[in-house]
Parts: sequence; structure tokens; C-alpha cells
Amino acid sequence: MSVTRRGFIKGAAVGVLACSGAKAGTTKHFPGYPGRTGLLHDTTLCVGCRSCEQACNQVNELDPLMPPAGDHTVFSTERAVTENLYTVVNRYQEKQGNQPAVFRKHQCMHCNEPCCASVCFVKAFEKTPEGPVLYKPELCVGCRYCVFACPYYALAYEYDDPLTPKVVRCTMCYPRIKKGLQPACADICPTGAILFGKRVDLIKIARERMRKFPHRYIDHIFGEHEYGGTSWLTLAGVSFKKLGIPDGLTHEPLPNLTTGFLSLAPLVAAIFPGLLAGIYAFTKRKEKLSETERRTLSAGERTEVKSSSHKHGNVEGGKEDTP
Amino acid sequence: MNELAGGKERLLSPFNLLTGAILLFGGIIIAIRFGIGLAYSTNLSHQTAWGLWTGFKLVFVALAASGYTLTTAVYIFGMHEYHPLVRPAVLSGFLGYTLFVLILLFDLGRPWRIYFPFLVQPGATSALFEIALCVALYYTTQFLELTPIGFEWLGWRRLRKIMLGATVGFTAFGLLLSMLHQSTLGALFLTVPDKVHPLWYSPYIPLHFFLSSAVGGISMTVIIAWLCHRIFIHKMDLSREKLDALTVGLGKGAAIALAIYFAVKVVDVALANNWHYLSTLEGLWYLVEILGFVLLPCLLYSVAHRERKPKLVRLTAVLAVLGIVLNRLNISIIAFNWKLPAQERYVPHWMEIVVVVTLVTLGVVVFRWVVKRMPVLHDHPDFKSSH
Amino acid sequence: MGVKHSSWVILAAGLAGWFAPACGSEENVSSLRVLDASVVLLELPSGMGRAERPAVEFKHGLHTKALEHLGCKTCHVVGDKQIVRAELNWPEVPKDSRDWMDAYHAFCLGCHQEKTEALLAEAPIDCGLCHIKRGAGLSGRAPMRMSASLHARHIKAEKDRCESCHHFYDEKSKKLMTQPGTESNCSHCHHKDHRQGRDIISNGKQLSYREAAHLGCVNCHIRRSNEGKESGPWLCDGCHDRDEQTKFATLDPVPRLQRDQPDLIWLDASTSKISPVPFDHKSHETFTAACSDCHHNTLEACSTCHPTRGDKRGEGITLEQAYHQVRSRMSCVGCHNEQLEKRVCAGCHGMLSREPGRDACKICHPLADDSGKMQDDLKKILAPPAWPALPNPSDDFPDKIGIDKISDQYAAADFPHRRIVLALDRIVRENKLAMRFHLDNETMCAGCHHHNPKEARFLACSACHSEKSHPVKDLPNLTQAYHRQCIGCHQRMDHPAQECEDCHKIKSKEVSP
Repeated sequence: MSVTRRGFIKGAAVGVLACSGAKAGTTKHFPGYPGRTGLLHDTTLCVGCRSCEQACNQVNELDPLMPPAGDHTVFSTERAVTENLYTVVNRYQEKQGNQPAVFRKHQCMHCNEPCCASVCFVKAFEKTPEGPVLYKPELCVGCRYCVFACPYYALAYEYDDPLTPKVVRCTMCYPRIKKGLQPACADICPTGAILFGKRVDLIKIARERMRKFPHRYIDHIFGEHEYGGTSWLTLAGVSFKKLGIPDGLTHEPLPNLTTGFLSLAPLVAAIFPGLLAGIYAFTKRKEKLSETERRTLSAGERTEVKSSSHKHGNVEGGKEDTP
Repeated sequence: MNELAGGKERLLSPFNLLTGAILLFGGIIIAIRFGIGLAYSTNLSHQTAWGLWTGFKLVFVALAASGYTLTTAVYIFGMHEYHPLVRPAVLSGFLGYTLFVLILLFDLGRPWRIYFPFLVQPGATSALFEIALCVALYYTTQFLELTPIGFEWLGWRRLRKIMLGATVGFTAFGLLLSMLHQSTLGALFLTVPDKVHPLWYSPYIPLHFFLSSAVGGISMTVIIAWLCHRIFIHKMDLSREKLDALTVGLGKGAAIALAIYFAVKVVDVALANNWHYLSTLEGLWYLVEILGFVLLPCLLYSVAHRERKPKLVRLTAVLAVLGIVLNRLNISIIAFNWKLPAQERYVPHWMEIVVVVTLVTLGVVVFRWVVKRMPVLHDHPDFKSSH
Repeated sequence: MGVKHSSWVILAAGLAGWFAPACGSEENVSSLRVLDASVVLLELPSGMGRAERPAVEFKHGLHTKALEHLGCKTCHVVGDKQIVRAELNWPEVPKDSRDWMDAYHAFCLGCHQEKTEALLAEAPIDCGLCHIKRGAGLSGRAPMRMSASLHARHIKAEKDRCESCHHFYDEKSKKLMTQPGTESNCSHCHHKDHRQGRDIISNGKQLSYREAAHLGCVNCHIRRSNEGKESGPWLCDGCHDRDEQTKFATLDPVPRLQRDQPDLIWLDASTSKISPVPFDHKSHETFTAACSDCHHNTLEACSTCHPTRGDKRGEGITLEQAYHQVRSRMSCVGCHNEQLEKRVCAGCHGMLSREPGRDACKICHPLADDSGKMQDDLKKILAPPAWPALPNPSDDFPDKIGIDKISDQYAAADFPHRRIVLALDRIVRENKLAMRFHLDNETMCAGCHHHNPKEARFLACSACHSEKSHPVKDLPNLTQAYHRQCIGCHQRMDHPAQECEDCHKIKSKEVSP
């Protein structure tokens, strides 16, 4: 949670520059808000009914799902999230005999240390203690650095709106969570492939499932540690690479990749005035010396030169004879 | 030539007609962008949120480095012989930043909120925030640096004197800001290690950007000086011989900057042990960039400097500038999202290209307008040798 | 003017060009090539570095056909008694990579050039026609395996003369000898090691498995065919084509291979504290495709190489591990576990934990101690358990169950409880292993009625699964439990009913969730 851990620094714009970075090299680790919620997506239980897509569109008051849930033709291509589809179920492996087809639901992962939040230059994103990462359209300038930076391609932008374009994405049904309800997708899922709960409990459940059914699962929970961990956790029966998730992702939170560099800025600003003043003084001195030398060479100014050269301790120049 | 530089030119000269047409057409496209939205004027997508315009933001800023490179050389390092080139260099730098700001306004979803990061809520953990802050300050600084030109033109002696007195301060502040934001533009890409091709991605990408911006700045100065000399020769104080000598000197500086840049790039491939990528298609493209547009100009600059060939320096400058353009577009577009299937990759919309051409044209027109009227290339007769 | 502003013009023109070359992505192989079973990949022997050009996919079948009238000797060394050897009859055996390349080129191209006009109108000579860089192909080639049935057919054809194929190398006399009753697999001596198997030339000491098999099988088949006897195939496709293999005649029943093996036996590790395992060796012979499914390369007892403390010969695997290793398909537990992946078993077992239950050991280790270990008892203990017939429908064993508690968007579903139980019961009764391990009907019921207390009345799903899911306990709600259980089972058993409407009709009026 670098965003919260280090805290967005308040204050005037210029003041911020001086302390924009994080203190590099700390022995402290912030494990995240205790009791924050998450969702566990067990892809071995997903049957590709797309009820979650439908429920999502209804709850978020988007256009009705097209083509409607139950239409399997959509699986012929891998779809991405759009401004009208915050969550999307894709098929990554077709049914082979009694090996069921493999689906994965994709949406904003609600990272523990969200990259979108750290790159936003107006702090329009906020990681809530409940788990969801929230977006405040009233602050957004529309630079789309968040869309650009999201490693999961989970953010969409309303490009067709000339006046009030927004970044749109899964909100983890924050309003519903606040009301004590589950996110709509977890609520509707007919097989319980999406499980809502406290993140720590979900990890325990996932571990227990892997222990009890080693034949069903790859021994990995995606999202437990990737890029610092996510609120959405994924279990799979086939390799995650097959599920369109890059494998071998670093556990380093993405924001950390920039903080090291940004923390240099105040340092540079601190060193620079002195450094440049030094160089400038050095240049001036050299100029003065060469000026002195030049004058020494010109006839009829011997006395003046002598005093000047004496002042600078330049003995060599003084001894020169003019032609 | 006379027509281009001429004092009392006709309003309907071919230059005016052509640039006018481009600006008019570009204006219509820009109106479409603001009237109907980004979806209709760009090919930006949820996968590729930054496209050609962002690529050219990087290009404009890198080439606008002419301002800080020349002022630093003259005022900090005391290379006074380059003084005649300072004003055109700073002016072109200022215009480069102007183009940057303009294209930024077109690219932003809600440009009227551009002051938000400063006045509403600063997001200090963002590289973009640092860039916004530095560019805003530097843009102001450059403007102030240029005010003496205007004051001379208007004949306001007092103000001119005050502003000139602060020259060294402006230069130092400008160098600091340039160093910060030129490198931070590279830092924008630090957060997307998975999306940029490993050959272009590097934890040292800020350093790459800063070094290459110095190359871009010097090379642009060479080109600007040459163009001014060809077009506005009668307005120039500088003799041909003197200009050639300065050009060759700039070539030496660029050669050194390129040599450092090339070495850093090679070390980068070695540190990440990315050699095996070089045999792929992307690797070949990388080699084209590194050998054809970094190593080759570096060698050519060196040869040109040793053999005192100003013409070769100028040609090399064009090559080096193209190399900067190529590098910035490679990182932001061609090597970006390299893992996505071809049909999901971004190809710029024609309107995006038109807007870029329009802005470049605008830059040329404004530069010409200023140079024609104000004492940029020559000392104002009333203020001769009183800088 | 263009000249004057050329820097910007070049810049703009250049930019247009930069977008043209899109960065290439990985080659997308949309359709896999299917390779002929006779294709042999001609490449440098291992350890000779990388070849300059892609390996040649040599179509052996095509060459055999085209050169049939000239015989194998055209390319291969033909030794005494007309035995065709794997070695090519090139002047001298190549040594380094350059040598190999020259040898192949002289060998292949020489023939192609010489015979192009006369015989082989299409024999390619240009480099690119043989060295073609291709994506991975789906080979029609499958390794040849001597199944129990095929082995029995060979025994019959050779009139019980094992020595026709089986031999061993006697170190003293330096000769191939035979010793009836000790026969083992070819791979016991002729190593299947990948690198050795790749070597076309024998290393002078011992033929690789590949060489030995081809030398033995192919020559015998040719000889028998020449003698006018019933014979096996000698062309590549005959043994190695996936489709051809399915056409092999099989014996039914497969006669038992006689090696003085027991019918029923106590598997007993003398040092073990747990009671011995009554083992039906005879039945297991029919459950497996070949002896080597359990016995590796020889027909020795398990404990020969896997003593209780482990041994080098058995790669340090102890006897306990050899029987219980879950991940090995050669162990008892591993092989039994593998059976659970079968379509008929996976319906329930895909959803059940693979952890052994509390009474699991007893199924194989039925005795409380060694006292009952009598040879006569074996038959009694191993006799198939008697299962009572399923009861008639009653309140405790309903015929159908209406699932309507959760009907909202969908109409109620009629769950054919008894029909499902009957189907599963039939599956179990047909399978000896299933009969042994399910113990009684009620164990089978636990496939759906999981976690039901033993000897208690079976509870309905709603007893545990309520309207709301319980995340901390990983307890899905009733809707989810139904769907997970029904759809999951249907998927794993490849049952046709897998879509919403297959079980419940959609109500006409759509109700928002």
C-alpha cells in the first residue's frame, strides 16, 4: 500500500516537489488494511453462464448485456472490458470430452497497492479500507495514465464522451458492500465460482481447496502476491498462462518501480543550486584569468596587470613580456 | 527565399496559402475532437490509452531541449561564442513546449481541468505530477527568458534590464527543471514493465530520456541555426564562417552526448541480459534504432567535427533528430503492448496524424513570425553588444 | 520552400514510415500439420552443436516404396543372413558435424542426382526443398508397444519359443545366450535413453532400444514374409501409425503369460507392522495392458529392487513408497487413484477430496494382525463383496425430488433421484475395483451426500446449504451447491444435460436478480 503507506503528501504544489518521493529503504512493511474484503474466483467451478456479466450491467446501470447471458457465440474471441462491460468472461479452453471448458472472469483486480492510484496526478483513485479501489470522476482530468499503466488491462475510458469522459471499471460493488451486500457477481453466480469474503479468509479457503483437491488445482493462488497482491484471487485447474494471465509476475508492487526514481527529484533539487553555483564560479574565474592574461599581453598596461596578477596569485602572467 | 523572409510579403504567398490550408484543415479536425470526442478522432482504446499524441508529446519535449542545452553551455559553462544561437534555441524550445501543451490539451479527456493537479488535489506519487509541475515552471521560465526579445522590440529598457539580470538564475533553474522532467518523461514508462518490450524497457529509462534529450536539443539547434541562416540571412548577425565554426562545435557536443547515450544503451541490454531478443523481429528494429540512429550519427558527428565539415554536421543533425523521434515513438507506440495480438495493436487514426502535422506547421509559422519581427537572430540596433 | 523547410518535411515523411513495420508477434500456428508416421527427423547426433539449416523430415515410407525393387541395401547395411541393419552403408562413419553434413549430402544428393532422371522424377536437389523450417507438427507416429495380447500372438506364432526374441548377453562367453524363465523386456538391457535412442549407429557395445527393436522385429517380419509365413508389418506405418495400431488383431481372452506367478498372494513386508495385503494377481493381469505396467523391465517381485529400506536398483524408492506413492502410476495407490479420472468415476470423485479416509487402510489391509494370514483365507477375503439390491422408493429413498426452493428466473427442476442412484449403482457393480472400495451402497451415496454422518439418515442438501453462503466455512448456498454438484458431475461424466434449459425451463417473465 505505498499509496497509503507513504501517504499522499498534502500541501502546495511547490512544496510537494521537495517531498514527492518515498523514503527509500525502510524496514517496515504495511500488510494492508486488516479485514479488507476480496473475491475468490475459482475457474474450475465457472461454467461460463455469464450471469455475472448480466448482473454487473444491471447493478451498474449499463446498457443491457449484448449478446445476452447464455449466448455462447461470444466465446469465439477473447473479449476485453469496455465502457459498457466492466466484467468479462472469456473461454480459454474448449470442452474436450469430459474435460469441461475453462473460463475466466476478468475485471479490475482491486490491487492492494494499485498502480492506477499511484500514477494519478490528481489522486482520483483511493484504496478503501474495505478493499475496493474507488475512482472519483469529479477530480479526473482525463490523462488516462491509469488506463495506460494498469497491468491487467482492466480499465476502460469513455472516449466517445466529449464533455464528461470518465474512467470506468469494476467498483467491486462498493455501494453494495457498504450496505452489507455481496458484489452482484458473487451474489448471482450459480455455482459459487465467485466467493466474496474477507481476503484473509479467502486465502485460507483457497489453500484448503488446493490441499483437499490436489488433482483439481494448480498449486498457486493468483493475486495473493502478484504485484503486491490483489483483492480478486484466482484459482485454476490449468496453467495461468493458458488463462491469459502472464506467469511469473513479480511480487514487487508496481508503484515501487517509480518511487525510487521520484524520490531523487527533491535530492536533485537540493544539490543543484550549489552545484551550479560552483560551476558558474569556476567558469567565471577561468574567464577572469584568461582576461587577465589577455590584458597582460597588451602593451602599456604593465602596472595594472601587475597588481591584478598579484591579486590572483598569477605570477606566470606577470612575467610575460609584450612583443 | 526573399519571399519567405521578405519584409513586406504578399498575404497570398504560397507559404501562407499552404500553411493556412493546413492550419484550417487541422482546426476543423481539432473542432471534431472537442465537439464529438476522442473516440471519433483517435484510435485510442482501452488497451492503448496513449497513442500518437502522447508519442509526440515526448518528441516535442525532447527536441525542445535546445533551450536548456544552449543556455547551460553559454551561461553556466561560459561558452560565450555560442551566444548568437541562444535566442533561436530558446525560442524553438519555447515553441516546442507550446506544441507540447497544445497537444496535451487535445489529448486530455477534460483539458479545462488542467489546473486540477496544482490547485485542487496534487497526486505527488505520480511521475506525471512531477512532469506537470516542472513543465509548468519551465514553460514560465522560458517565457521570462524570452521577454527581453519582446522588450527590445517594444523598446522597454527598464524591464529588459531587470529580466537580463536574472539570466543566470533562469538558466540554472531551467537546467534543474529540464533534467527533472526530461528524465521523468521516461519514468512514465517505469510502471509498465510488462507492456513495453524488454529491449526498450529499462529501470534506467529516465537516464536514457535525459541523455537523448541533450542530443535532440543540440541537433535541433544545429538545424534551426542552419534554417535561419538560409532563410533569414539578412537578419542574421552571424557570418557564414562563424556559423560553420559553431555548427562544427555543436557537432562535437552532440557526438559526446550520443557516445554516452549509446554506451548506456549497450550496458542496458547487457545488464538485463536481453541479447537473445536481438535476433527477433523486434530486436532487428531495435538494432535499426540503436545502430542507424544512435551509433551512426555519433560516428558521423565525430567525423564531421574532425574534418571540419559543417554540412555533414547538419545532415547528421537531421538523422539524430529522426533518431529521437523514432526512439520516442518506439517506446510509446511500436514497442508498447508488444504482447497483444496484431489486431488489438494501436495504429494511429489519420486525424491524429493531421493534428500533429498541424501543430508542427503552427510551430514553424509562429517561429517565422517572431523571427521576422523581433531581434532573435540579430542584436537589436538600440541594444548592440549590451547583453 | 520544401527544401528550406526540409527538416520538418523529412520529419513528417519519416514518421509516416515508422508506423508501417508493425512489430511481429509469435508465429501463430493455426492448423497443425499431421506428419506421416514414417517421417524420420534427420539431424546431427546430440552433442554436435546446432545445425545451420533446419533438420530434414525424411519420409522413410516414400523411399521404401520408391526403392522397393532395389531393396534395403540401397541405403542400409545388410549383414549376414540378409539382416538389415540400422546403419547406413556409407563409406565411413562420420565423425564431426561437418562430416555428418557432408556424409548426408553425399549420400542423399548422390542418389537424388543420379536417379532423378531415371527413377525419381521428383527427388529434390535444392537445399530448401529438404531443409524446410516448419512449425511443430502433430505426428501420426506413436511408439510401438507390445501389449499382452500382441505378445500372446507372438508366442503362438513362434510356438512358445521365447528365445526367438529374448536373449541376454553373457559376460563370460561374450555371446548372446538364452535362459528360459528369466526373460525380461528389451529395454531392460537396450536402453531407451533419449540420447542413445537417437544414435543411428550403435555405439559398438550395446544396441539402443530403437536399434534393437528395429533390427529384431523388422528383420524377423521380412524373413517370415519371404518364407511365406504369417508375418507382421515391416514398413514404418505398419507398427507406428496411430490408426494402424488400433487395427491390430487382439485375442479375447488374452491367454495368461505363464511365468509361475501366483493367482492370489499375500503381499507381506516382513519388517512391516501393518497386516499383509491380500492381492489378486490374476485379476490385475487383466486390468493392465502389459506386465510392465507394474513390473518395469523385469518380472521380479517388487521387493527385489524396492526393499523396505530402498536400494540403488530401485532408485532408492522403498517398498512402502513403491506401493503407496500417489504420484507414480506404477504404485498401487497411484494406479488406483488414476482410475478415478475415468469418466464413470470422475462424476463423484472429481468433487471429492483425494485424502484417504479414516478407514481407507482397512480396504487393502483388512486384518487386525498377522494371525489370519492363511493361504486358504485369500479366496474368501478376495471374493467380491455382496451388495444388497437397492431399496424400493420411500420417503428415505425418494424417486424424484422437486427443486423449487430457489426458483426465481427459472421454473422448478425435477430431480430424478432414484434414476441417478440406479445408474451409479450399475456403474459400481460392473467394476471390481469400485465394488471393493465402495464397501456398500451407502459409501456410493456419499458421492453427493458428502459429510453425512456415518450410519445416520441421509440428509437433504438444504440441511447444510442454506439460502446464504458461508464464506468462512467455504460452504456454498443452496443454489450454488445444486449447480456445482449437478453441472460439475454432468461435465465430468460428459452427460448431455449441461445447459440451463436442460434441467429447468426459463420462466416467461424475466425477473431481475
